[in-house]
Amino acid sequence: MTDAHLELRGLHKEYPGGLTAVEGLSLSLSRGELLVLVGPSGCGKSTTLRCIAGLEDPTDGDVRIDGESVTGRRPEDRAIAMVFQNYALYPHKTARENIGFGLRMTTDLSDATVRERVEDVAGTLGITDLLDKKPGSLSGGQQQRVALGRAIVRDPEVFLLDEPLSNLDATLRGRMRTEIQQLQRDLDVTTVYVTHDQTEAMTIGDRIAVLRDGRLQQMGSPMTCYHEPANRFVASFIGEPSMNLLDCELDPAGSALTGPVSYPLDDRLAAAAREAEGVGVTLGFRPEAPTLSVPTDEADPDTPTFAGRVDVVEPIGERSFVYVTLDAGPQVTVATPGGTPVRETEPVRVAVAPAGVHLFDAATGQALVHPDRDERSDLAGVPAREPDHG
Amino acid sequence: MSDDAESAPGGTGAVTEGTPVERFRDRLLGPGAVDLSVYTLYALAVAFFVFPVLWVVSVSVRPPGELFSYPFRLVPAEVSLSAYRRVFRAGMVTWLFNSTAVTALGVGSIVAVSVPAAYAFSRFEFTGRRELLGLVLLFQMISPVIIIVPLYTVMSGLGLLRTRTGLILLYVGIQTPFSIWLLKGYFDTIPKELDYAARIDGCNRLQTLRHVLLRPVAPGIAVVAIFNTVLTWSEFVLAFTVLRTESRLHTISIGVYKFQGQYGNDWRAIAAASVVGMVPLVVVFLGLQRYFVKGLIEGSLKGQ
Repeated sequence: MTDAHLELRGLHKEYPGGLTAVEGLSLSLSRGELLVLVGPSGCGKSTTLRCIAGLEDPTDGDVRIDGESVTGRRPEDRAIAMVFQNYALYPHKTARENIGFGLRMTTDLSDATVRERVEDVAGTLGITDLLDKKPGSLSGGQQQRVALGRAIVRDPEVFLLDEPLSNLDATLRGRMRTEIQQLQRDLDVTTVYVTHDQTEAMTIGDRIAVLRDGRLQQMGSPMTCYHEPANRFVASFIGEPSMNLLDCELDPAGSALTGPVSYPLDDRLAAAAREAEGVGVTLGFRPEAPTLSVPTDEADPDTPTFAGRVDVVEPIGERSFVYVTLDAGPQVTVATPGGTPVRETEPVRVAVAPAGVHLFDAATGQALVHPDRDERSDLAGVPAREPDHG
Repeated sequence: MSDDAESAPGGTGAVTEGTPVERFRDRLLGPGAVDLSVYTLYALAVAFFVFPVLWVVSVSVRPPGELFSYPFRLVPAEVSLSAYRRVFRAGMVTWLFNSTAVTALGVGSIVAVSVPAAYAFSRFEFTGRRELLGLVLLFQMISPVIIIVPLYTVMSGLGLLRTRTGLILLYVGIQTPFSIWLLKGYFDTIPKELDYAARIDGCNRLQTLRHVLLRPVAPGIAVVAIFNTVLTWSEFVLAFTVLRTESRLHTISIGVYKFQGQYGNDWRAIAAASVVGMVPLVVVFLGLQRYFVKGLIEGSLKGQ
């Protein structure tokens, strides 16, 4: 017995022609949980969603809802509802007909009952006065609400959302994000939410599952994925701006990294670095980890420091992102408090404390060590919030 | 500066408006000259296409003997409906009925076959899909006139000569490939998410087509219907070959041909028969055209 409400077991989807979209994906959600599938375009997240919905048949593996296999069942027999990126509202039907269509096709409910349920849902979503309009005369946000209404009117066991906010402008996206979260909590319905936007994933999900090339890279809470990425890909994908990653080599003594930059390792880091399969070790640190100073400031002799020159300062309000090209070559991003007096082309020092450092095996990409949990509170602690792109 | 000029209220025709080329042209020709030249071109184009129609109408109402009168005049000095009386006495009602029956059944069958076929070609992934689509296109490239002799033999073998069914089947067979291609293009423009949403809402494939896709694809169906109606209504060679001497089944195009004699043509009757034959087409076209435009405006999806 399992308490998983929705479970994928070794889900595999291969298309004719040999393209593998999803490879052995296993995950489970407890009742009422919101899991975000996140990854770049083509990583298999939408295919996974379509396999859960029954719109595509997996080549192998099993989809289980409430402990029962639903693989092979038709979509309407799976107790799921889905919201699409382009809403997929029927253009010739009114909002009322759009919302009630599923009930009419799958149940024997009387017209009066259907009307009542549609109006209940419309009341919940605040679209009662739009019920007799057609999608063409509704705004993006209104269409989105109708699409949500169409999904929740059927009282589904599992709610599937495929990039539901991608077509909205930035302001509306923020508002709908909160509304969807609220709605999901109120309905207490198990939800799988697909997005390519890591900021959306971080803010909306109870847990996130990061996918790449059809394979699960990491599943965990947003903070775990941010602070303890399982591998280089997750480290670079989650967080905006991305984690700074510098490819180095472990010196023969095993006490320092060399390469474009030299970085002395303390005992904790050195022990982790020696776990790497080869000599290649990637040094990673979040933009919040380093401190920035000008060469005339007194340097902390215990903190390794890289010299460089400011390329660009990107002020975003309470903080600025400073892009620094190190004298050793690579460019790194540093998040500083908004008023930090640094100017473009100015020489600076980037001090990266060992407590804020991640190490990755360059050969496999797997994480070797993460920043000290105890020390983490000294760092910025929260992921940067990307301004919404409209 | 040019921005100011462009945003100036009521600036239509102002010399300072538009690009430098447009300003130069306006100075050279004077403001409004372009509008005039464009409308002159429109008028010429319309006259080019409308003149033959007007000429046919004019010929059909001339009294006998005034057909090639000199000097040339479009509006006849005297109006006579004798040519119309003659074509109706010769069987115009029968021809109209036959043409209507053949066109309605033919176009209906073409739409009934090509809509599901186009849906399948657009939405289903099956082995040989591309090859089949290629074959459909290949068949479209063959002119029916080239294969008229084998067609005649086949129709004769099947006992379909001198029958309306035979003629309709030929039209369906010959005109369906193009219709499939045209409709497939329309189906391709409709996002697959609509199909997905319909399936989640409990529709099978046919219900998806009927309840969800048919309306968005209606403009395409209107185009197919208009195109095939015009083609079928005015088709002569196949009709003449299949129906032969079975005069009770003759269509309007064969009817028009009957006024052509070995030693002379009755141009007034030919013109009158043509005018009568044109009326139903114009009515159908106008009716479907309104629907076509309405469908285009309605069928919009966010994010497409």
